[in-house]
Amino acid sequence: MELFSHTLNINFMKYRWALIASSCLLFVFAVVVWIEAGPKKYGIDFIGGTELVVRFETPVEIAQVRKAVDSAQLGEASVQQFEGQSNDFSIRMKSEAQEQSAEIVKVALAKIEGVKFEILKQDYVGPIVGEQIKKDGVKAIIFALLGMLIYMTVRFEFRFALGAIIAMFHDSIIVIGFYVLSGKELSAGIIAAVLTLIGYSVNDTIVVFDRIRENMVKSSKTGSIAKYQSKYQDFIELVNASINQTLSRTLLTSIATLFVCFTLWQMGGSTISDFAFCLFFGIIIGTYSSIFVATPIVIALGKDTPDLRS
Amino acid sequence: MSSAIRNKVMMVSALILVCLGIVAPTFFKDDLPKWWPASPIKLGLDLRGGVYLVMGVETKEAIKSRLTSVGSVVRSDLRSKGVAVAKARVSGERQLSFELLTDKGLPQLEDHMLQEYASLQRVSEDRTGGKVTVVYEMTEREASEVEASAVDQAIEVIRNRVDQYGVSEPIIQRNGEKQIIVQLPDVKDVSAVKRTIGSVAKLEFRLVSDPTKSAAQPSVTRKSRRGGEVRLEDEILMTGDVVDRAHVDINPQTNEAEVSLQLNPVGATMFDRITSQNVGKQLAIILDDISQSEPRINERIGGGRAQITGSFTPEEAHFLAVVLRAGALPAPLKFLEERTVGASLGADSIRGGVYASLIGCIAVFIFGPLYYRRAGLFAVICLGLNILFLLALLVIMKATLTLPGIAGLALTVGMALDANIITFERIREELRAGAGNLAAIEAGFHRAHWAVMDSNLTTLLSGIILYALGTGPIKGFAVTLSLGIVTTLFSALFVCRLMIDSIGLNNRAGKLSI
Repeated sequence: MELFSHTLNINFMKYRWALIASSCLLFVFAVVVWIEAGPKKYGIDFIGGTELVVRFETPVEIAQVRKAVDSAQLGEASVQQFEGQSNDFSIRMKSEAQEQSAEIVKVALAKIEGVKFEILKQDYVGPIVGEQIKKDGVKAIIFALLGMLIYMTVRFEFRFALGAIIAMFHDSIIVIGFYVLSGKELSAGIIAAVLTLIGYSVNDTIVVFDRIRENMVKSSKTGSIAKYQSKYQDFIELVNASINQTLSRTLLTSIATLFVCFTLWQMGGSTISDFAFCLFFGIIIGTYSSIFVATPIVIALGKDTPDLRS
Repeated sequence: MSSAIRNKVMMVSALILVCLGIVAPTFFKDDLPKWWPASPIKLGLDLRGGVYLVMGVETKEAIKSRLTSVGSVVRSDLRSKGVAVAKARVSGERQLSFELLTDKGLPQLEDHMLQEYASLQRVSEDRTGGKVTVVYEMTEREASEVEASAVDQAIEVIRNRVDQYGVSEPIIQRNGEKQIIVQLPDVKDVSAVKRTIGSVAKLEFRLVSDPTKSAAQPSVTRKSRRGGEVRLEDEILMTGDVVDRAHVDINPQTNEAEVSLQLNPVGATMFDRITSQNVGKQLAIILDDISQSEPRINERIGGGRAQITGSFTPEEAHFLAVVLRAGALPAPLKFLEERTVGASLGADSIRGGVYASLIGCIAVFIFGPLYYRRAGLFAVICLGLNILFLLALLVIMKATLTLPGIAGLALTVGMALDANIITFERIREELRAGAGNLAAIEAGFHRAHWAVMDSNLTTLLSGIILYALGTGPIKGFAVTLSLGIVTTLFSALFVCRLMIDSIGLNNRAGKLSI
């Protein structure tokens, strides 16, 4: 079976400027979304606070739960009902969390008449730890990007490394923007998702680059693609050919991984679901950016490309 | 079949058998004989339910409490030499000052400090109206040693307390310089745990001030358990260090729970002396700055036995006995992070995670053979083996499987297929270019080798960084992701190669099923 004909030859690089421009727009949009709406979306992992997830044995109105929580008078508290599981509620207290606030809320909930409840989860994150989680997360992402930059420079060339890093950065920011836009709360899991995405995205980019590298070696031996007047034109042609040659692998792998992410997103339960949501869109962006962000950057930096006709 | 290939096949088969043996207890725990050597995979708190706590040790307090006790000991030592020190006061982070009413005793104080406490340096002296105040400061080096040992001691004390609490497989570890992480599987009641772990349990014995004496006598006030305050003499006669054993008793007369203490020999001698010298006075027993009871000393008490009474409920008495047995914390703890997962959420998560992963795997398992036919079938068999190897590796390394870990496992399946896709696409290309079956396989694996290596090693890099900088569940994800890459490389480049070679060898000239 073949999803794409092996004789496929799309001139991807012809559209590179238009696509890079739209990538830039998307990137700026994501940054704006993050800056505008992000701070409201930081979960207790980052800003500290208390979260209580309770399951009532019988159906309860959200208004009843809210009233009980309000009666505890702990300042700003939010009550949310989980989709699908109508008896599960999440209660969050973000304000300067007193250590005891979970206990106080439990007492208040016990006063709702006629229903019993069970504590599914009870989290308290102090402000110091929240700050630490944020700092470690940013540090991890920066280290990962730097590590890749070094690895790719050693294994390929600096311009390839730079192309890949910019593409990964582009993917991370856009995915975070998308995640914030979807109304989900940013938790520590998002850092893991972004790092996994970086790993995945570079994976994708490397396969394309590997082929470009191989074709460069091959054509410098045979001079097989010396079609154009300028060596720069020849290089673009070679890049195009490399993308086309690896296209079916790129898309097949993405589809296979998307399958898995989709089921995890739909069925994995709240923690895994948010993580998989992030990866699902991240993989789509990552696949796109390997071809339309990373590779055009290599071309743009490749004016002094070796003469492939020699 | 050549002998080289036969050897490889036998090696892989043996490996598969061993891995099956290792993984078996995870799925069929109850059906296996007792002698089975492997144990089930360890589940993280998020799947099993339990309490996760991060605490900061307030090490500065350890320095203060060290200085306080030095002050108290120096005063009583000098008193026995006939020198009266009016006040000993801790100030700043690591300073201790002594106040003398006249400068007559000053040389003796300085002499004593030099001999006994060389790590305290005299920094200043102040004379106002006949009074002399000398300030000593703990050296920075000594202070940081006290801080470091406070964290070590705190870990030891917490371990003792948790042991008495009867939790299976608790994890107590240092986190950075001044933090401690405690993980208690299967525990639900976080507030009880916090009370047991977090109580300082500093036990002191002091005399109650005699109200008939002048108010000028130095004294301190402490809250009383029964409400109100009590005025106590400022000298600490004995501390909890000398408690050897502690257990709960029911007083047959009052039917109330009380805590009986058995003191060690040093404590017994001390207690003997205290009781014989102070017959008729009230002795206050103070726990964490709250006076529990102030019994009157009716007679000299030998044998090192003492009781703490105070109309405790049996639970309170039990808690008290536990913390007294385990010893006092060198410094207070501050709870920085607490996460409690109920067992039913854990069960829900396992179900959700496992179902989602299974469906994802099935989708991949259908897709493989559909697209690459026989080679695709081999690829998904290798994927299955990959999962087996990964689980076995997790068991061997005693790694903990967390909820994100399950996601990592599912993701490994998706990404592992990539290695096969890269290789198969390459073989197809070689075939199209007119290579023979064996040559195409050879060239396909050879050319795909570095693409597969590069792409997996970069993912491994981010996995390792996640492990190094992540906490709790994120670490669990990083472990499965990283180990998954190792097993993926092995199963895609070695095991799958072996299988594909076998189709090539049996079918040198015909159409390759790929």
